Amino acid sequence: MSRRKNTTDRRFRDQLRQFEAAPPDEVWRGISSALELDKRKKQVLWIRRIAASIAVILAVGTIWILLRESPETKLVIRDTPEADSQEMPQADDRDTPEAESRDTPEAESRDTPAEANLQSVPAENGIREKQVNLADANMPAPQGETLSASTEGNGTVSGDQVHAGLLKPVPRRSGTGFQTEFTDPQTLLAMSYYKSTLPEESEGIDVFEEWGEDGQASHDKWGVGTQVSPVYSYRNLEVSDGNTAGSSYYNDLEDGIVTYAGGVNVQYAPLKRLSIQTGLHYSRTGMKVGNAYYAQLDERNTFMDAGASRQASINNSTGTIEMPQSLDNAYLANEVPLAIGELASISMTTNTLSDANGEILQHFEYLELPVILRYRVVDRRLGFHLLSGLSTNFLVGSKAYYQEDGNKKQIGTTADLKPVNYSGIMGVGVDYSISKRFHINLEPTFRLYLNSINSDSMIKSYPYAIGFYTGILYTF
Amino acid sequence: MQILTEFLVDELNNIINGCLKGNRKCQEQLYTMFSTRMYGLCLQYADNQDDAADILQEGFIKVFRKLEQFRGKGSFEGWIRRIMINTALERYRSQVRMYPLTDNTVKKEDMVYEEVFEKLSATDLVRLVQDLSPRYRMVFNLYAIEGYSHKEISEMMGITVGTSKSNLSRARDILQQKVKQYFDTSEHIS
Repeated sequence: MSRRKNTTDRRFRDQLRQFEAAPPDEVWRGISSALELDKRKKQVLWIRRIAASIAVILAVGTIWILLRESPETKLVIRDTPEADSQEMPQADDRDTPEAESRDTPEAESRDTPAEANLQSVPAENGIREKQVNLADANMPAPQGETLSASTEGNGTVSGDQVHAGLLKPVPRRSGTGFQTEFTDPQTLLAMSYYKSTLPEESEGIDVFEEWGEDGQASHDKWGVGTQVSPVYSYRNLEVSDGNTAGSSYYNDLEDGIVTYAGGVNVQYAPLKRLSIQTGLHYSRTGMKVGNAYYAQLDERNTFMDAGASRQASINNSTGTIEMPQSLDNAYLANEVPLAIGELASISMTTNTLSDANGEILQHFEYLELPVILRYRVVDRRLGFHLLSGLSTNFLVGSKAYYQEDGNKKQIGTTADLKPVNYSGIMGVGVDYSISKRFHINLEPTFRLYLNSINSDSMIKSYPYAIGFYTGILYTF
Repeated sequence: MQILTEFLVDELNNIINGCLKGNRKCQEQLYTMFSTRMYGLCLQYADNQDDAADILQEGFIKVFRKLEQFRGKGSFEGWIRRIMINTALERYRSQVRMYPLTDNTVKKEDMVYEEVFEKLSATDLVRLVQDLSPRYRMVFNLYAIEGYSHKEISEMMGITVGTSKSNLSRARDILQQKVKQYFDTSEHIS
């Protein structure tokens, strides 16, 4: 029967289409205050944008400076006492006014022969990568016999060759990574590095660091590991036309849950401080709907008329929970009086309602393929790092449960969820090397889904998860 | 008549332009022009007057926030009306409850005679519509009052076309029964 022919439709439409009524005065007051708030928000937004721009510039600048300060600083040292006698005449010869301008390219090129007897080793003293000439330091006249060739009375040593000649072999001393010898507290005469034979607790020094044949510090480039984490997850809602009342309604009703996540990782470190990680993680996120209860229906008063399809659903902010057809108990959530009214409206004469102290749990299970960059801000045995990345997440499960008094029963699955989603990852972490190869870590991490996980066009749900990932890493 | 219409259109355009500039006086004028008609609409979609006032307030806030999206095509009142209905639809969707997706209510003949309706005012009819369950009310309003098709309603509400049809049928039955009850009661009293 069309709406034109139907008497009921026509009668109601004729009377209601142009129906008018005076609204309460407080409606305009509410609108007016909301518009005033909008005006202020716009002003604050500009200030925020400027502040955010400054923060981004500072962050980028800081990262750029940190990346420029490569740990591969080379120190020029000598390790053969014989070289002293060979170098000294050259030093004398070159100790001329012309050679004083040793920073020029010409002066650099003359250093080549001397460097044949020198060994370059890296050190982590924060000095930019360059040939660190000890002659750069202002030195007083040396007192040792090998330094007597320096005839300059003013105590200033000019030229790399001279400085190379001034280097003094330092006796080997076990148990320390670096040894220094000073003629006075402010003057560095020589530095020598010896690889420690025994690991030693030494703050500030990477006791597991190895030195390659080229004199560069070597580090494990590959790593495999595993991590697990308890995860608190919830969601942000975005209503398509900015209806904050709709989202606040759900926010009052729903809440986050604690689940877990974990997986295996593979990482590659092209630089000592920088590594890139991928892997495969399983994560379970979700949320719960409070004030749930169920109505136990007797056989004579089925939820719907006999022969009708017994399919039911719960619409909430994130997806629709679909029940199986053989539904004996009607699971309901929120607004008990209205729900009873709903039941009554479909001709139910009797039903048994339990207290509304249950919860409906929605679990969203994903397999995650993350790509994470880590930068070690503190590159020591007890290190500190920052991490950031992206993850592609594949939906593998969407079970929904009813939970009450510790009993949990699956009642259906959440439909309308997108099969693939993407999330951004940010976090910090501490790591500790328990041996040369094994490292443990703890990483408080924040993950935010970048696209809505539900297909609903009106209410978009963006889950987020806060986890404390801990695990072990084996490097090689 | 045409001159009056043009004058009103010009006045409305001036008010809209003022609203776009954030002029509070123009915003109030716009609200005054449409608030009674829209409140009448909201009452049909709400459980009670408080809910209707909430829908009206939310709807008008959206109107002012999205005013720049009105391109001048079509009726401005129709545009506002659609926003109000969408707001009511969102509130309906936010009512987290279990709803049967399918229903096999049997169609019944129209039981109410024309003269019964003559005795009912628009306010009485609004009250009858408000007494419907949210889903039946929404389907009935969208179909019978606004003229949407079952396919459009199924997309708007996230239900099947069959469900929309059965809900409409059930809503009509309930309304007819209530009209009859109302008539019987009033006859008895009189």
